[in-house]
Amino acid sequence: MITEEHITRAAANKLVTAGWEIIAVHPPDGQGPFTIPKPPQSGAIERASYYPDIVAIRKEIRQTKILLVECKIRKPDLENDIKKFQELANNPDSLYFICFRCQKFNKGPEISVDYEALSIHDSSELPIEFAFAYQKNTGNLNLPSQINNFKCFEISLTEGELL
Amino acid sequence: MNNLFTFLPTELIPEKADYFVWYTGTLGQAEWLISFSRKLRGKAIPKRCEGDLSNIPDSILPLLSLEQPDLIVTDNINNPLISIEITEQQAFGTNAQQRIARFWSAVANKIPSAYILPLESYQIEKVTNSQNIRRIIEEEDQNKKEFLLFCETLLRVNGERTYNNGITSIEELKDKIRRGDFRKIAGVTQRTIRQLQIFLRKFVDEDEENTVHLKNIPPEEYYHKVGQFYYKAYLRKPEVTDSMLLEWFNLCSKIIPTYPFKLQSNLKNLFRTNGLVHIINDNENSYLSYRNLPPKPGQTTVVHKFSGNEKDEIELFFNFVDACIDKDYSNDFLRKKIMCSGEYWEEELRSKWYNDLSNIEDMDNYQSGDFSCNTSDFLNLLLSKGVEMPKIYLESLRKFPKLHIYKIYNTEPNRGFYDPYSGNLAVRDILFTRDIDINNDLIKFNRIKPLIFLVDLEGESAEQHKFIYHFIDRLFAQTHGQNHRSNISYQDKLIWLLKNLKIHKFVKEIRCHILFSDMIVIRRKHLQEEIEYEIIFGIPTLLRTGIIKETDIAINSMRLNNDN
Repeated sequence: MITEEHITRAAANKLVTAGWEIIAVHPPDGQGPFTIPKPPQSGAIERASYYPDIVAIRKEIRQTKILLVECKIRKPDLENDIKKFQELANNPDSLYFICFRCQKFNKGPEISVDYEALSIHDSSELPIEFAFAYQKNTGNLNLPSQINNFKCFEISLTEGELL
Repeated sequence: MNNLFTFLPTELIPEKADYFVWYTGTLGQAEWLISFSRKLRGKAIPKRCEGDLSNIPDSILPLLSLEQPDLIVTDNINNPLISIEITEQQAFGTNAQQRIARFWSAVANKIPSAYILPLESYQIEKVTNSQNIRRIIEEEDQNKKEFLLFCETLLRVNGERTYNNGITSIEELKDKIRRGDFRKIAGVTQRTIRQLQIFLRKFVDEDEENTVHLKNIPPEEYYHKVGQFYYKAYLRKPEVTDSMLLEWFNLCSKIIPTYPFKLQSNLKNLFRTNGLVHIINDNENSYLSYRNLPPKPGQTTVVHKFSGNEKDEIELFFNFVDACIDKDYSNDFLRKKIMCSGEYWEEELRSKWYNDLSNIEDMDNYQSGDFSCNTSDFLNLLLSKGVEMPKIYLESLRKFPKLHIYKIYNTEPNRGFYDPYSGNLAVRDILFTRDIDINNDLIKFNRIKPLIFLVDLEGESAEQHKFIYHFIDRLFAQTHGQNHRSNISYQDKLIWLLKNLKIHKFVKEIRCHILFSDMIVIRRKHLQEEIEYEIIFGIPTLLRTGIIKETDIAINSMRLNNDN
């Protein structure tokens, strides 16, 4: 039996092989440490947050990138996750917050972003990418290759990679 | 059916399990427990608890009957050995105690339990006084800016005014605090200087003591502008509600070991995970990688060095789990010292747990809080408002000279009273209403002080909030059928339900409230100052008066080895 947790773990493994460092994982039904506040809704107490399934970071030649991943067993079930990322990509405060959480500071983690420098850029220029992970051959859905300015890619996992 | 689904490798799955790890949280937590327990590794399998408890064996059902702990370890015929809760969220404010009813059932049945939680933690929080923050961040004098930021990380110190008073360097300020000279430290008084001294000693100076506390936030990391908002990263240390929580564990441990274990944070992870340490990638147990699990034994700093201890908290936790599996409760694993005042909370916090009222009317000066008062004053207040109460209940309460009131206030009709009040009432049940040294059978509800749950409903809540009659009515209708509804009082419906329903069948919106409260008083404050009272007497009073008995279904269903 394949569960969403299989997808999350296999995707994380694949990302590590590709040089990403995993910062946080939010398993289904679990608690999550890497929360990104959503913009306050009209008049409501601000409680809502994004909890991406995986948050990863990678030092590249030109800059350090932050990756958010959403996972589903079946590809067609990612439709709401596309909307989730679109909403996130349209919220500058949330995007800055992602970089803030991954910032460089004295005695902080080795791989990090220079948040002070990034914060003067427009939010559309922040080094953030999105990815969707799913089990291969589980149906069709057009996944975007870009959301606003942000690169978006697919992590398609074979049964061999999942088990 | 409980088909085994696990990420454990084949070599760790026993052909015939000696133990089961029942989980209501995540499978990962169960497998983490199995992996690092010497007693469970290779000998236990995880079993998922269905949300409706339909697959739970009767032998452990009482432990899940009020609320569900994350993990319960049993032997292979489902005799419970230990109940475990794991949380990453630091307890704070009224939420500090919300999970406590999960442990209450274990204590009542003399089953040990463990709570892994951050006793101290880092928090990142949006702040609203941006004008003040901007002034500090934009301060051009670097020394002054550093001083002002340092003051922000301390309790109550007004940096700007202190600077203007002539204290202009961090070292000078620290020196004044250490010497108890509060005169030029703005915002600090003779009464509060001691708290500041303790904060400085524990979190700033980091004197090598028996307990290693979290490091204070470096001043330069305190405030950050993120998008259009300002955030602060700060150290949250145990306060009043946390001290109650630790004392709760301390008292319950007189009955059966009920121990908190500290989930450790470090500054390196401050922004990524609010400091919390997890297993990210475990090479030795790769199936535990990428599952947001607590650290493995030995992964974090040793924080309790007394008694020659060299183990970190997670290792001590696993030692405790293994001891419980052997039913060996002789070692306290340093918990007594950790729970008592001195290490994580100061004795003076105890005086803030409740207000002792000499005039009952003073209670209304507070929207919510804990109060102790003369029983006769409280009952006379209700009677003077025209509240009618059967004599048997009144007499039962009048036997006690004092009672404890837990008062809450609500204006949001859709805000239920499940969390955090179920846990908050469980805390008060132990802390204020019993003498555990004299009677340690919790289910008997032998009171030294009755507990009153006083709910003030105002605004829309006064008209619309469903607590508590609606829930009793609906449950009665569902269970008893529609007949006779109109002829029976809410109190009698509750009594009927208690005689006919197991406790876990009561909806969570009222379950702990009727269990822990001797009396529930709801004041609906309508417009034109008209106040409508609703009264329900809870299980402690109903048992005391003999109206219900320990053998009745609801009460009996809380006990392991019950006859239901």
